[in-house]
Amino acid sequence: MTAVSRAGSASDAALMASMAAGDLAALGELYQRYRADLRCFVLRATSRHDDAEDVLHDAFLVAARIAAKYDGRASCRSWLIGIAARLVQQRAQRIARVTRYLARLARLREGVRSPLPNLEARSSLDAIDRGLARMTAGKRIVLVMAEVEGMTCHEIAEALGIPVGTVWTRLHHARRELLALGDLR
Amino acid sequence: MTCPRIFEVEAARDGRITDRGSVERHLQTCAACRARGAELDALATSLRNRPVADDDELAAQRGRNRLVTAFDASLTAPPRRHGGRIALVTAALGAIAIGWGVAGRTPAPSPSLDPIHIDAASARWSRLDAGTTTVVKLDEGDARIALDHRGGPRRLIVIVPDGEIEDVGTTFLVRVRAGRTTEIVVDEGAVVFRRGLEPAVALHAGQRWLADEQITARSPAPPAPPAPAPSPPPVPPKRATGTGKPGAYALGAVMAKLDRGENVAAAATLREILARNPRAEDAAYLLVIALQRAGDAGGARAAARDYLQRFPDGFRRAALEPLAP
Repeated sequence: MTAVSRAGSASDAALMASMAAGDLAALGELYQRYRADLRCFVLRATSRHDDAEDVLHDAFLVAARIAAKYDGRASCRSWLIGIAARLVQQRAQRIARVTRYLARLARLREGVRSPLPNLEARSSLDAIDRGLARMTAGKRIVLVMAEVEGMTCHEIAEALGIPVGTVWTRLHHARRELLALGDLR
Repeated sequence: MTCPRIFEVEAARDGRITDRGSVERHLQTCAACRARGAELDALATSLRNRPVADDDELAAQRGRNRLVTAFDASLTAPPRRHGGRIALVTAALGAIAIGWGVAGRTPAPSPSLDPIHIDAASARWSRLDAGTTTVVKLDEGDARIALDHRGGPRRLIVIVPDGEIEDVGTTFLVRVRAGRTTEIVVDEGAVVFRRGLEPAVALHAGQRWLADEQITARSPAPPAPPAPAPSPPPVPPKRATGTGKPGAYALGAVMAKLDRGENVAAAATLREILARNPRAEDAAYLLVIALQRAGDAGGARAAARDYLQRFPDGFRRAALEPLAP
């Protein structure tokens, strides 16, 4: 019996335990099982689709490194989504910092205009995509976790390490921003 | 057409109110609330139905190979920082012939001048001084360590069985049990904890690190080390917050203070958060709560007015409006 076939029938908790012991086949199997789910989550939670593969890679690598801390629940899907959500948020914060810096530089140079308005005008995104693109990463991630992934506010708070009140606030404002757009189709 | 209970539709969905039955009954008779529910349902459906670009089998294969290779490399690579520390200790040993005090307390060279104070009466530890660097090796037990920088820059590294803690000018407690670090509590300043191959974790004043748990704002700690209970979803590598904008940990610390009834202290922390980030809506709301609990009715009214001014469309507007007529 090869390591791969052994991994194929194992539970998530068993794979996590193997991964914590350095079993590469276990990591490969978890990747096979959850790549598609995690990819969908990351694509929905980020406005930068070109980053998705990197976030996926980092999320699984982080999971492998901290597998020993896995709490043993039957499915590790929401656990992985929690890791990915934090990585998306960290990336968004880094990008926001760089964007602010570049904007400051641009303002210093007379005649230099931001390309963003033109890009937005050319964009074929529909209303909801435009709303999501304008939304802060924090609100967007919470919205996707709640409405698409079906996680409860307490689960989201636990996954992101934030108070549940903050989840409620972000969720309320995120919905409000999208509903203000009117056409949700 | 509107309804004063319309906010309950969303609140019930999010688990903010527990009596869902009451909301359900109300929905049967209120068209406005039903419309609100339908609107939220439509939003959720739209979000779920957003198309996602098709996956590429080749990209999946490449991603899998890249991931397994990276994980394999991380398993086989020598722990860089540990290597550096070992080299540091070796060099220090060679440069100055100050030996380790083996298994037992090694008194500081000159207690009156020593910038490092170590309180570890029942611990098994030893100490090495090399120039401006001090290395403390803690094998077992509790050690409370304080470093005074007034005498000049000084570096302190605490080697624990499963990693190392680098002091960045602080007072802190480290607890080691059965060959592993179980707890670190920072009273002042900051430390950086590096454990095995895991990414470094920065801990700031008021923060506590517990084995198998994420960093938390400090709350009254039981004397015994925590049991390795099921932990919340583990955290990706991160730096703990404590400075800069009000992050989750800052608000977590406030919540802990409120739980302990330290309402005045909580209000002071919230004012600091708001001074750094005037858009911190949750902090503005919690300030009203803290002041109310502290018995400062005037302050609470002023804070409520301030919230309503800062956040005219705020999430807690309905709750605070009666406080600031």
